[in-house]
Formats: sequence, structure tokens, C-alpha cells
Amino acid sequence: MAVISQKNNYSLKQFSLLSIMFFLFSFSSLWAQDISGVDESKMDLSNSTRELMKNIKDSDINKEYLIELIEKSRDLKLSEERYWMVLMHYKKKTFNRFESYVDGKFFFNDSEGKYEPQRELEATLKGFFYGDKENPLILHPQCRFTARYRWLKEKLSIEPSKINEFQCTRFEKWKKSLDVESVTLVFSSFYLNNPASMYGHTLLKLNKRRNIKGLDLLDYGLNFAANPGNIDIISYVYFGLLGGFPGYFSIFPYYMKVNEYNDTESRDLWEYHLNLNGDEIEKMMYHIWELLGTYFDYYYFDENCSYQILSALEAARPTLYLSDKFSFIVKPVDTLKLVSEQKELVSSLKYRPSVLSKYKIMYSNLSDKEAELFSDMLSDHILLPDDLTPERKAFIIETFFEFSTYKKYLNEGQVEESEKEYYNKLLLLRSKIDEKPNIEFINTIPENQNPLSGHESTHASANFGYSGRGYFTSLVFAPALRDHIDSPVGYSAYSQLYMFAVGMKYFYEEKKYPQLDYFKLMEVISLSPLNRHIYRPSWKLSFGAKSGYNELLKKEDTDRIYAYFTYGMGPTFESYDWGYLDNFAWYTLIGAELNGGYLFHKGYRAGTVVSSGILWRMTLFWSWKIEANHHWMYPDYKNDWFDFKAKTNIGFNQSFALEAAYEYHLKADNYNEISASVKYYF
Amino acid sequence: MKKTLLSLTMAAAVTAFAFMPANVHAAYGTAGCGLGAVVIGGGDGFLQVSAATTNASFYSQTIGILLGTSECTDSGVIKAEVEQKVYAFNNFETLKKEMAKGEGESLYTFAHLMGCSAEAVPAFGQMTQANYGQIVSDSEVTPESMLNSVKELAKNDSTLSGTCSAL
Repeated sequence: MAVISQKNNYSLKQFSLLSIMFFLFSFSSLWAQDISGVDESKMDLSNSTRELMKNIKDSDINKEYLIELIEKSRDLKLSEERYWMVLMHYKKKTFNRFESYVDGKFFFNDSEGKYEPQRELEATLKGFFYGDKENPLILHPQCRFTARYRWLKEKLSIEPSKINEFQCTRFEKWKKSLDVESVTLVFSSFYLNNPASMYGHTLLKLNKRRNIKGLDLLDYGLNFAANPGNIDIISYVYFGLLGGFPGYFSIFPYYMKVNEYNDTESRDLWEYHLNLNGDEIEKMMYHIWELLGTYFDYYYFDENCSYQILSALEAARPTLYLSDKFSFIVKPVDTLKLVSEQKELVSSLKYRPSVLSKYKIMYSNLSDKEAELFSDMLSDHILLPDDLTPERKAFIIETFFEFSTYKKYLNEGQVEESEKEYYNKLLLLRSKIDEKPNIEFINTIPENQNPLSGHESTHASANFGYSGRGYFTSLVFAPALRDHIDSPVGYSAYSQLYMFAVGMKYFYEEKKYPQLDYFKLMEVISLSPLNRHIYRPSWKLSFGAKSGYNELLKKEDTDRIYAYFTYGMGPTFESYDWGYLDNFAWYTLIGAELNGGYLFHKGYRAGTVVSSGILWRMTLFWSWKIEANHHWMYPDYKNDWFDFKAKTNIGFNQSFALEAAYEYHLKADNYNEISASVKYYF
Repeated sequence: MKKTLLSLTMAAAVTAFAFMPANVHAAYGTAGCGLGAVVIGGGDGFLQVSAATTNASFYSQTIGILLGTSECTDSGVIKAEVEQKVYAFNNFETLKKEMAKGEGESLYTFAHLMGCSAEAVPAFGQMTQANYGQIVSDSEVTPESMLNSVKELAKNDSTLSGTCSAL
């Protein structure tokens, strides 16, 4: 969730530190969410109104009309209506209590407004009449709570003359300058190198009414993000999980967002046009104005960017029930799917390739000879020979531009002087070629990568198998996100991301209770194939707890659980021209492993692990993964061992797959197992 | 409870922020002009974009809605008089590429900001390509100098001077 904008992307080192922090704070975050309570103070409604009335001075002329409106609102039970719930972001808690997700003080007119829908409604009406006495400098409530005013005015048939209606010039000007005709839901794809963006990000694009097409960059994007400022990584994780950052809605010219995602972070943008009618858009704009002036506590897992964007859509069309469909982890891709499942809501799709995607597809279009020239351009800064046609010359240069842009951002904007000079020379050279190469093909939507067509993002599987310890059954539950072996459709093919995944195992012959196989608090594997002149290391980071039953441990230790932390790095080679991309990869990761637990003589062991494996996609829905690992650990009794794993997955649709696996642990009493499983994605 | 405490702290911090004197906010934008300023101050202008989307505008936008303050934007919308500049600063690298090519979405959007009619947009692209060497002749070219020379050239171009209204 690219929700927390950071000036720099995290380096791998920071990433690992971050992960350790994750480890430490995840549990406390769960706890914090559970006990987040409702304020204890309870007020009798009639009392509160009496109090409200007491504060109104006799000299105020429209007191009677206000009382009339308040009584009418009670008769109509307006505070129980869906739209009031939506506008105030109330969520029902236990015992018929409510709590608003909004944390900004200026959002409420009543001190208890966060918890008391009726009190807040009455205080809002009062505010409309008498202004905000405590904060006279800020916008008048009529102009601050534009959507509330609009709705209450309609519901209660408020007569403007009796209430002293304000001209909200700033709001009107703002609305007019945005002049929104339609709305697009934008998904920015997964970005494993920044923990804040691993699950992708969503924002809304507000499309201006125009006579001329093709000016999308000048539209505005509505974004919800936490802003940690320049703080250290520990506070970042701590507050990200526990909700110490205020999350703000803000609007930015869309070109800023395109630059940020497409160029700086190399993430593809998927734009889903929404079918909202004029009235719905109007409602939404009235509410967006209210949102821009407040903040929400930001929570990485649930009250995040995607969640809040859904609430903005509900304000447009309150019959959409989107934001209450989630619990625990709100993944941007799920919110996207949910929106697309609504009847006739998504009408069309536009794709904006990232600078990296553009480069890759352009590079693949080079002939062998041109690719050789391209290498020479990189290494020797050559100027192109004259036997090329002007179109091809232009095409190669443009390919080089995309590559340079990608590389520049990768190096955080640092470019060597000689490279800068060469780049400028190529710019000048390109300007002298009038012919325009046809590069339309780079905008073709790669349907295989459409996040909507990917498998669902939570999975559970039931396995049955035979092992060195007899027959067994195991169950796996993984709330996020995917394994390498899953179909690559809709995801980054080379990413594996687990969070809070748990596996339980039961050996029939031993007739003991089911035992924990593993608990993956977090596991990220990001493979970056070395080709097309992109040389980035592949890496793996994993930590959690697992059982030692399949290792070189004494029989009586086999059920013991220990904690592990692994980090590895290495190269990946890919055969990308075997029919289609991302077809076959061979990776080797060399890293360190640290284990801790009672079963080790000294309470821990540490060492090195070398993993090497292949990932082979026979089709988009049939994958193989074969991996061998060698461990050297110290200081425990058996210092090194080898294991081997092979697995295949056949996907049938977005929610169902079959898997088969074989595992062999050399010297671990030669433990081995073979299993078959049914996997369900939901 | 922890959640509540943290919320309270943040509420206090933000409230305190809201009542700070105006010049404290200005510190976020080096040139005192919210959104574009950080980008303007950043020279090369890369990661400055995200700096702009974080520090500069985010507080000022929220506070701006409530109090109505900002020199570059009206409640988050870039003011018309600085729109060309802010656009040139934020899209400088892309514009250089597209001017050299003589076409592209960012360049055509730029033409639109110069007030060029839809028919004049391709001609605008060609003009920037033909004069590319002149526009970025100086290796020290800045977004601002680029903007000025493009405008100057368009004014002297017989086709564009009549059809682009915001030069």
C-alpha cells in the first residue's frame, strides 16, 4: 500500500531492519486494534439537546426554527440513515454504539460527535445557524460541512432565508475549477522494494469536463496518505501499525502522481473508469471538500489508502456498501475487485506503462544487431551508424531514453557527468530526426497483468500426503498475498509475499494433536532477472516460527517450535524469449539464517544458507518450482544438511488450484514427504 | 487505549500546527509557494516531486481548506497564473525527451497550457523539435529558462503566435 509517501525508497538494509520491527510490533498492533474502544461517556439525548439550547442566546432570532428542525430530524430519524453514517464515517460497534473513523477535531460540531450520531447531527444544525463559536477563524460550518448541509437542507427542507445561508465562495470556486465530469479509480501496481507499497495503491482521478481529449495529466488525483515526514524507520513502522500518523486526503495534479508512480517507482498504472452520474459526482465533490479539511488515523493494514478511497465512493453512491466488506487486512487489489464487481460501475480500462515496462517492451523489439548497438551505446557511448533507417535510429534512441530514466531513478537521481553529457547528445540527435517511429504498441494493455484477472489474494489449502513419519494431513491459511508457484496473471510474476501465514500438520500414526508446521510472519522473495541491462540483485527476507520435525534434530525434539530469520541475496537468470516473458527463471540466493529456541543447546544457532532453484511456467496456469537448499549452522550438533523441494501448481480459475509437492531432507533421518493439495483462493 | 492516546497526541499536534503563525508553514516551501516551491528549489527536480507531494502541500492543503492559505494553490488546485511554471518544473525531464521527439502526451499538454488550440498542438510539437538545440543549448538549462525560450520561440512563430493564447 503505497500509502505512506516517502522521499526515498528504502534500501534493502533499511528493509530488513523494518522487517525486524514488523516482527516485534505485529502482535502489539493486533492487540491495539482489538481494544480500540468507544468512549465511555454516554449522554442522554434529551439532556444533550437541553444543554445545546441553553447555550443559545435569547437574542438569537431563529432559535425557534432551529428547534423545529431538530425535532423534525428526530421524527425522521435522520441520524440513523445510511447517508449520515457515510458522511460521518460512522462504523457500528458493539452494543449499538457508533464510532467515526475520522479523527480530525474540526470534523465534529459536538465534543461527543465521534460517537454520537444524533448529538452530532443536532450540533451540526446548530452550527449551521450560529457558526463555530470556538473557531471563528476557520470556515463557517455551512461551508466546511458542505455535503452535510446539502443533505440536511434537502431532507429537512431548510429554507435559506430562515437560516441566513452563506455563499461558500471558496468551495464553489474550488468545485468549479475542478469541474469534475467523471471519476476514474487508479491502481498503482505492486512494488516490493518499499514496504509501504507491497500491496499496491489506489487513488481516484477526478476528470475535468473538457472539449479536448488527451489532457488527462491536468486532471486531479485524490489521494489518501499518511505523512510521516522525515522520521526514522522505527517510528515509521511503529506508528504505521499502531496508528500514530495522521492520514490525509489531498488532491494533486495527476501528472505529479504519474511521475511519482510511473517514473520514480516504475509502477504501472491501471485506470478503471467509473460510471458515476452527474448527481453522484456532485455528491462526492461536496464530501471530498469535507474530507480535505480533516484527517484520519492511518493504519497500515486496515484504515489505509484503499479503505478510505472506498468511503469516498460511498459518498457518491450510498447504495454501494464497500467499506464494511473488509476486516483485518485491506488489500488495494481486493478493493479494486470489489468495485469492479459492482453492477455497471466500471466501464473501461486504460493502462499507463511504467518507464521500466516501456523500456522492456521496446528493448524486446530491437533486432539482434540493434541490441548489440544498444550495448555499445551503454558501454562506449557510441553514436549510431548511418546504415540504420531514421525510424530505427529514432526508436533505438527512444529506447535508450526510457532506460536512462529508469536507471536514474533507481540511483535516486544520481547520474555521472559523462552519462549526462551523452544523454544530452542523444536528445539533440533525436531532435534532428523528423521521422517518428511507431511505438503505439507499448500502450497495448497486457491483459495477463490486469490486476482484476489475478487469483484472489487470500488462500487456504488442504494437503494430504505420505512421509517418513507416515500419513499426514495439513492445512494452510495465508491472508496475503501469493506464492511464486501461483499463477502470475495479475501479479508481478517474480514476487512472493506472505504475511501472517500459518500451516498446521497432523501425523496419523503418532496420534498426537495437530502441530504447528510454520507461522510466516512475513516472507518476501523478489526475483529480478539479470537481462536487458538491468542488473539488480534478487533477494529474500523471511521470518516467523517453524517446527523442527523435518530437520536433523533428535526425535524427542521434533515437535519443538523455533523462531527463524533469514535474509538472502543473489542473481536470477531468465529465459524471457521462450515464447512469452517470465517463462523460466533460475535463481541462487546466498544468505544468513538465525534461529532461536529451546531445542538448541545454546538457545540459538546461526549460519549460512545457499538456495538455488528454478521457476518454470509451462503455461500461465501451470507452474513448477524446484529448489535445493544447503544449510551450514552453528553451534548445534548437526552442522550442515541439505534439502530439496519440488512443487507444481495448476490453476483452474481465480479461486481454485491443485498442487503436488515432494520434499527430501538429506541426513535428516532422510525425512521425505510427498503430498497433494487443494488450494482455494478467496 | 493506546490507539486513543495516540490519536489524542496527534490531534493536539495538528491543532497546534493549525495555530502556528503563517511563516512557519512557509518554511515547507523554499520559495514560499506551497506545491511548486519545493520542486523549484530542488534544481534537478527528481525525487523532489515526492518531496513536494509530502512535505509542502500536505499540511498546507488541509490547513488551506480550513483557513484558506497558500500562495500556489487555491484549496489544492494550482492557481492559473503559476500553472505553466509548476507544470514545467514537474515535467522537465519528460518535456525534454518529448520536445526532442516532437510529440508526446506531456508535450501536448504543455502546448495546451500555452493556450494553443487543438489544431496548433502538433505544430507546437514540431516547433520545439526543430528548435530543440536552441531551447536547451545551455547545459545549465533550467525549467524556467526552458519555459521562457519556448514561449519566446512560439511568439516568433507565425503559425503559433496567432493560435496560442497564453504565451
